[in-house]
Amino acid sequence: MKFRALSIFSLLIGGFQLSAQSITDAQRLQQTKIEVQSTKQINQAASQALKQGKQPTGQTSSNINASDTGMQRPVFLNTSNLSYFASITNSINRSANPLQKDTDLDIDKHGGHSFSWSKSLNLGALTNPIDINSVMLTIIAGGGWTDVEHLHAGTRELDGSPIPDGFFKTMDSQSASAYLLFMMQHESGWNYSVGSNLVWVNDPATKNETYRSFSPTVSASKPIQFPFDIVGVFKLDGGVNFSDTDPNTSQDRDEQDNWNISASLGFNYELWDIILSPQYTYSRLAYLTDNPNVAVNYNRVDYTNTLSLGANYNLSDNMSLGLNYSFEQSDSNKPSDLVKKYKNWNAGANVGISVNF
Amino acid sequence: MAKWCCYILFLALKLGFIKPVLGEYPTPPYYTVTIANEGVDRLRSVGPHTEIKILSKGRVLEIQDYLTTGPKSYSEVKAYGITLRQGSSSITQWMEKHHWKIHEGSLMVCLQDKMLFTISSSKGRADISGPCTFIAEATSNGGYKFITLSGNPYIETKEKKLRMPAGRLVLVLGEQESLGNAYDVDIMLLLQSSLLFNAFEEPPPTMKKIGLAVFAQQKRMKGKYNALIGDATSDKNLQMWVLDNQESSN
Repeated sequence: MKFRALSIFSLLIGGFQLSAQSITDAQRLQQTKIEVQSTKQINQAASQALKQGKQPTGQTSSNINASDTGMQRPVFLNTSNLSYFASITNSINRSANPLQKDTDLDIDKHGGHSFSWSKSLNLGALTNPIDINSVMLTIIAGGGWTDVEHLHAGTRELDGSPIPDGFFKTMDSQSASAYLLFMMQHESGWNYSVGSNLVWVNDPATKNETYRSFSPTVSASKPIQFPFDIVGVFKLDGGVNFSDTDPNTSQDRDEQDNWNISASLGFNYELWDIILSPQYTYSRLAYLTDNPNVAVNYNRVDYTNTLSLGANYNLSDNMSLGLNYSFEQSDSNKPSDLVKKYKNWNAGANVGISVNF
Repeated sequence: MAKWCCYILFLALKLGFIKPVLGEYPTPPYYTVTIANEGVDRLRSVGPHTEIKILSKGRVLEIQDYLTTGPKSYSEVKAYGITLRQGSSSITQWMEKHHWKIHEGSLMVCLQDKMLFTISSSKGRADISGPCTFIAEATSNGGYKFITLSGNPYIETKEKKLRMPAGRLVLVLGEQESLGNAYDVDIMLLLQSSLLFNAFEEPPPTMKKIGLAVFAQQKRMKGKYNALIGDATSDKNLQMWVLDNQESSN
């Protein structure tokens, strides 16, 4: 059995990918100087050294003796107890079945595809990790604003009736959110989080609030090391959603109340500086509304399988480009005219700017 | 009769008159060798002579024993919730129960319990409060480098006491038995390139704590300098290798 330090650390640090190779004892004991001439080469040298079982020495044109201690690169750390972050994301998405009406992806049968343009701003603050025995606790508080505008211009039929121009505009929304999250990184590698989320949704045309929700959530995730330097993350999520829906758009104010659980397995793999992240998610959502007379969602449970693939490329430390694709298949225990089984795919591109300070 | 024989045998063993047939009798306190490859020796003063013995797994060390490793050798010894890993081309000496001296080379120490541990070199000496994990590496000035890998110990010399969170490096100076400037270093990079860490098949016992320390440092990281810390050639000079310009400055 070989001890693979990099594997363990890459597992502990979410999203931090490092190469991890099994190496023989004989290889490990070879000590070879490696020329390191630029900043970028340090990490490459270390990674290469471990792969080859050699010891990088941080050698420049002068001589540094090989040391078992390892390379000591000075860093500067955040000295305050709080850090702040902000990000702006612009994305454009195409949805094959925006009304979620049919299992057939023929666009003529379900009102046509839609293009949407989403702009979001996120702000937040987090504490430095607080050491509590075998747990590092991080408290994160933040908020955001998202504007979704549907750009679909075509007219198609839906269930035999023509869809008027601008129909998809009624799906436009502006939402604000706020959250508080307690994240606990356990020494076993599991990461637990408990938090709550508040969301307000407005209709941009009328400026009226159409939806509001409060959602306590819990989650647990564990990174898993796979061959070929692939890091997977298994995640379990659960939450309760207490909502208040505009009575003009719904039969019952608490019609959208639900509790939900989901399990996902995602992977991260770096290929030519592009981070590929395929993921599978299974989710179960049970509506909580207790009014059998008016609520469409009374006793309704939906099951959704989602396969997705993301590709992200960092243009700089603060700017990234991304492509994403997802396919979802949904089923319900209570199919009706309003609630249907459906299939859908979404594809999109996004550009994001983020800063940490 | 048998009962009396047992008493006598027990007393003889206790007083050191009889040694077990297999190996040396582990008179507490002792360290047991848990990992040793070819080239790991123990040096012990026996009267005017020095006895050299090849160490293998299961052997024990006694106070004042030297532990030496060859150019491609590594060893690990354990006792009292303490694990010591010695790097290649190193000479260390077990001085007292919780005191080791580094004559040359490097040592990784895992202290799993609350305790006061002393590391000295030819000129420097400091007390470290556990639990913690650290690496100590002898420097040319007679002192040593001290790097915390996990925990948040104090390091104390005659003149100075310093809190050492994980990832911090400080020089225990030779001539003044004091502490030099402290630097935060990239724990991840250090562990990636450290044979004290990677040359062993098993992770150190404090591995989970080290993992948390890496996590915490990554969360706090704001940037990295284009330099590597080298040797301390004197109490006033620390080699710093500037990477981009391919030049060194003292």
